[in-house]
Amino acid sequence: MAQEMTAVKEKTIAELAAESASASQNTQKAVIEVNDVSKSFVVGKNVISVLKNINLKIYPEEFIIILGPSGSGKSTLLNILLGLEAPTTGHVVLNGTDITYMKTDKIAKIRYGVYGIIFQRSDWIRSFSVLDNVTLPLALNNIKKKIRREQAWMRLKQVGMADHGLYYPTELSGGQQQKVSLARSLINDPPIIVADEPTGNLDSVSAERVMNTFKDLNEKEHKTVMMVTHNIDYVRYASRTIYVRDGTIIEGSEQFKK
Amino acid sequence: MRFSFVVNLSTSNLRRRKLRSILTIGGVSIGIALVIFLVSLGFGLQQLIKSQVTNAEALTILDVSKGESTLLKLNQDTINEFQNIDSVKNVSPSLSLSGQVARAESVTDVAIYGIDPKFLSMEGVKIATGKEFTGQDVPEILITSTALNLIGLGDPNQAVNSQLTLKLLVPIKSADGTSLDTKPVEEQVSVVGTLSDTSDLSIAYLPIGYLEKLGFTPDYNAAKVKVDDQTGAKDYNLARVKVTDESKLPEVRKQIEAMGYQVDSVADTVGQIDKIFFIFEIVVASFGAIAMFVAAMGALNTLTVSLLERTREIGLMRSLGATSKDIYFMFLTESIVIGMLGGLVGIGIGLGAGRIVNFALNYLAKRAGGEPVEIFYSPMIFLGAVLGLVFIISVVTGLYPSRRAAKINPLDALRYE
Repeated sequence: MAQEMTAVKEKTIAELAAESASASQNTQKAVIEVNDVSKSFVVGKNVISVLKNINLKIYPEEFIIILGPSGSGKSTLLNILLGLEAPTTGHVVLNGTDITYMKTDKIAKIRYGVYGIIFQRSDWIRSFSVLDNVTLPLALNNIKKKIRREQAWMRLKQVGMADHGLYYPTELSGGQQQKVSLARSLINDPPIIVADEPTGNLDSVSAERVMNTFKDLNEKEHKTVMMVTHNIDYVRYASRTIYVRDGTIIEGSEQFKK
Repeated sequence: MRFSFVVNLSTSNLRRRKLRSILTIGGVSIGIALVIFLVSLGFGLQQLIKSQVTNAEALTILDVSKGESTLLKLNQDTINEFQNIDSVKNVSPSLSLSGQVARAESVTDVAIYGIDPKFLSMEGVKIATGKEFTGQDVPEILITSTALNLIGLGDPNQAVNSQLTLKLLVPIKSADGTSLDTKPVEEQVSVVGTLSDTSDLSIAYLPIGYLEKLGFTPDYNAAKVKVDDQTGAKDYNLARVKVTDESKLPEVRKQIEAMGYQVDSVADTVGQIDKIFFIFEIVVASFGAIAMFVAAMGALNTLTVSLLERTREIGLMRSLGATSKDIYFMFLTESIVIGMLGGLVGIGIGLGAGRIVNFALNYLAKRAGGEPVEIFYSPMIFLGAVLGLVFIISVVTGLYPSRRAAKINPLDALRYE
């Protein structure tokens, strides 16, 4: 009896949360809109369809986890959202601007203003120190050295890596590199943080720390967080989970919670 | 991207791959050093030979004569005309005649030039011992050591202030002004200085005013030393015209030639020397250019390998907001940094090697009793031109890898292993 009560209570809470989330989202303007996006690759004589008619809206301050098995198309979806890859058909609208068929250089500038990006494998300018690597997005966008360095120290402090600013990134552990990567993604103070399997190469303790940082960014700094993973354990951090399989978003898979 | 950041990025990449960078920059340096060393040697030898032939002042002097013409006059009026030509600084008339100098029983023939003492330097005369003339028409003589040797004055220091007998045939003006009669004249002259003599010739210089005083009177047509003509104006057989600047020489020459006079210049000989050395310098520079070409290929290879190594870095930068143009300039800058560093080091090595060789040669020459010489000469304009050339080669070398880097798709770059 008590179990039934609890189940009913949980269901009710989940439903209420979903309704509340839907209601709040409907009143807000989506920061990213994905309309009928398909992506296919030609390999030899075969056409491989990776994404099929994806429709998706992402609202400010959401913490979205895109979940799915390997090869499901979730990373391709993320790359299309980032403008790193053009869809075969459909449109991607970022803050009201259709970026689908824009020139790559123009998208690069838009990307700088909107996204902070964290890749599964941390890439570095190997000849630069941790500090200079963190300043990279600002340096690429003509920000003065003094400001770049001030911002970089601040972000390194935020992720607990201020002591490692003068190291070379390759001297750090995987977890430390991912923290520095996070500091780099935050340096231009972007409204949206995008992470492609950021915990993929980390041990569970480091992974939890990274996830908690994302959570803080979402809750305290009101960043929209969008993360691709195949680890179902992280669903608990998300305000919405999108399940991708065989290039499509599974109908009814979107889970909202507050 | 800020230029300082691009330079920092390029140099940090070079620092990261130290050995490779040193080898690449070293290759460029050797090519440049070879060009600098060989061409400086060419310039140095050219300078040395030119300085033996003439001095810098002589390059601004034109020798004007009447040539074969019997109609042309070369008198004070003509000299004033020359003086009025733009860029002409001085005009110095001169007489040339033959005579003898004697001391005790020794006599020798000498070629005598009557010159204006004010313009002694225009004659290209180098005084070895003694001094210049003390007046416009004084009985003084400047004479070569060869002539002095022939009359028993082997020691130039002893010769100065000694008295010589000058024997000349002075023209006598006849009543109709056309006679060729001459009379022998013997005069005592004082040696004021001896002349450096590299060609073993018996030559003497006397003030032109003194010769006029001796009676080199008008109407002496046959001797070509006519001082006065029927109009009363002096007629010289040679006038030296000095221009303000070497570059003005051809222009002035053209104007005087247009007046009908024959014009000769040491610059003609120097021009021939310059032509020969120009070919020599081109040939030696070609050897250096081959080394430079090989070095440029090395730099191209380094850049291409660097491009492949840094493909993921390119992807990262593109994903973080770098444009394809930024990537293009990044690689181009790296190429220019390699080239210019190599160029500067190469210039240093080339100049240093020249100094060392020059020092060694002079050391040996000194031991053998020779005079020290400078056989390497590197004008600043040449060094500047070499740096300019290095810059162009660097840009050309960097074009291919830069274009290739700029065309890389960011996503492909991020996936590159």
